[in-house]
Amino acid sequence: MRSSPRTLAALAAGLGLLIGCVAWFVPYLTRERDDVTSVPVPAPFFAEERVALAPGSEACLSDVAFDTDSEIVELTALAGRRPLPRLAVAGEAPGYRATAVIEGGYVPPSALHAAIDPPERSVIGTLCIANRGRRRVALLGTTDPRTVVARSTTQIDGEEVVPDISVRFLAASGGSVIDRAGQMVDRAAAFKPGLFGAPALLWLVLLLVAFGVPAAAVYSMLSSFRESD
Amino acid sequence: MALLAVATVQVLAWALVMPPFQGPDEMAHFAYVQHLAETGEAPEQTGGGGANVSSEQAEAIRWENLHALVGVIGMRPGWTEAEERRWREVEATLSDEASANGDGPNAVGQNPPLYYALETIPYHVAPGGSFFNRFYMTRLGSAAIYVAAVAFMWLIASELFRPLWARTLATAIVALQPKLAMLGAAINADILLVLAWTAFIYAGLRIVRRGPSVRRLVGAGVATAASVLTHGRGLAILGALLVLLVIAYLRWRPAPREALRGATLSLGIAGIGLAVVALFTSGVSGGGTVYGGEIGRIGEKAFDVRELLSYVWQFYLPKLDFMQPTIGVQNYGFREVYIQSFYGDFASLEVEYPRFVTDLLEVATVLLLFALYTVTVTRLDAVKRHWPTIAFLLLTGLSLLVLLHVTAYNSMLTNPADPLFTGRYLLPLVSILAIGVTVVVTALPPRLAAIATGGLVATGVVLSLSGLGIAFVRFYA
Repeated sequence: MRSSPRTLAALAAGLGLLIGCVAWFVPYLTRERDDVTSVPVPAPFFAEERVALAPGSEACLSDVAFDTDSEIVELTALAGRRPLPRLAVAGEAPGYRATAVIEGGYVPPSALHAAIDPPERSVIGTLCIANRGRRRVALLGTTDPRTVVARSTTQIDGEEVVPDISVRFLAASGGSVIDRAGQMVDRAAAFKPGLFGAPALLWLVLLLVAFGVPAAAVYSMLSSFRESD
Repeated sequence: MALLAVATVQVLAWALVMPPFQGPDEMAHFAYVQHLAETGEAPEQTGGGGANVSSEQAEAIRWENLHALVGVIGMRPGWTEAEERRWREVEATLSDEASANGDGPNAVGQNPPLYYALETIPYHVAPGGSFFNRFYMTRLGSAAIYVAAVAFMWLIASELFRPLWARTLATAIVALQPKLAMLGAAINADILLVLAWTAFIYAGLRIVRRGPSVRRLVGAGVATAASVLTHGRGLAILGALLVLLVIAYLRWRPAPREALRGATLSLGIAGIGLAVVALFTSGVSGGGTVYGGEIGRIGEKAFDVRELLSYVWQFYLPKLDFMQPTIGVQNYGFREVYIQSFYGDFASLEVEYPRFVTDLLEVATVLLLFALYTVTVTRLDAVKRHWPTIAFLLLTGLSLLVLLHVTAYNSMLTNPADPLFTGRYLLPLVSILAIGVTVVVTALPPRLAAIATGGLVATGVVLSLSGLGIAFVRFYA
């Protein structure tokens, strides 16, 4: 028996969607990713800038958001001839203080990670990085117009400097998009007032996109074949 | 109806998932809407008091950390409760003046006011008065324009194709075009350009296929006026309107007086649009030139026709031995514009499909061109029979492409680093793409056509979902 055009169209659409899901969506959605909880200043878009921190000096970033899962501070040390000095990292905000140490000796360039205790509720405060060693350290910073416009600004020993230090916060453990879907929806709901910011609305829309759009598109196509038969 | 629902859900999802001001040039477009809504005046393109956005918009951008987010993949928006709390505190202290002081300079201040005037409606009806309520309502205004464009595509498909499945396929291609859905969710005048061109193509098809009537001619004239009142790129529609009137005359051979009346009607309405643009232009900064000098910027460096032709050749095809390297960015052409940024490159161009997707889309597009050629040579009788329709569609598309290339060339004479041509500029022609694909599919044997239809709908769904998904992960993971 020969299949009708409608059946063939359904098979082709089903196969296409299956290939899309298996070959693309599932690997993409189940891949482990870092959980970036906040980015006070991103890495530069065009050219990297060095922010030199002399022994005993302290750099502070203002208006930094510390989230309840901001457990790791990530900085980047730029290439130098000798191992890194010891750095002290401190987060401070009303009702919150956390400190950590990045032991020296790494060979830069490298990402530097300092584990801090996150606040119980999110706060806005200051992040300071102090050079506790005997050598200078050069941290990655930015002056390019695309990235220097972040809210945080950098001061060294109380003086505002032009390159802002690039820094971001991570959660201690990452996870896949599927694992963290609820958290991502909550993040997407932030700053949206009223109905726009209701996580239930976002969930509804995302589920409609994920299942309703394929269903409605395929349904409309199959209905059109039925009426043409 | 199902496809309109598909379009509505997609655009709503994009509007909610894409953080504020992350659509193409969305900061400037919203600033224009806000200033017009609050003061009744457009912001200055080059003048103004130095505030390219209002104090209110600037504070919202600051506390949601949105400025450095634009186009920077490693950045994330603010989403902590502390930032949101701080923003609410700041917002409560802002005066009414803080919404109205973004008088320029504004990078899109040269645009005519139609789109922005329409957007003041959702801006004003936003409940509660909070900044982000007004922002998201304005985005929904764009979304409504996008859904209307999809509806016009259905009308075009109904005009051209008899089988219901072919109409559905043509409309699905537009409804599932991922970049178009994203653009519909952003505050950007380009989406009104898409609607104006899609409506114009519908009116034009009715005229060349059924004959000119007052209603159809008014429709074509109104769509033309809307296009020139929306953006400088919309001027290209004037060429398309002239082509339409000539084709309609050749096809229907009306009496001279009737032809003159019809042409006067369409051109008159278009002329009113142009007059409004001229009136608007005389009142804005930008040297008093049309569209702030964005279109027809000739004379700053010598306009060289040979260089222009060489640029256009190298945009589409490999450089020939005797040619100089093209003006502007090297290796920027068909693939980057017609494929990469036409289907993808979401938000501020930084949200990209993986390379293999662009490769596959490029192969599919080249195959489509070969298939169209094959259909043409194997069905020459049908081509001759339908010459008015085919000529109208081809020349309408060509009128936009010519303007885009000439404008890009002009721009590169002064700033070679900016090719001033990206995929979304082609979206006003998305209905012609859908028609082309559907013509090829309907030319296939029925069973093969059914398989192709199913495959194309599935491809559209996969592209749409993945584009939105990649954006969701880029901003919130």
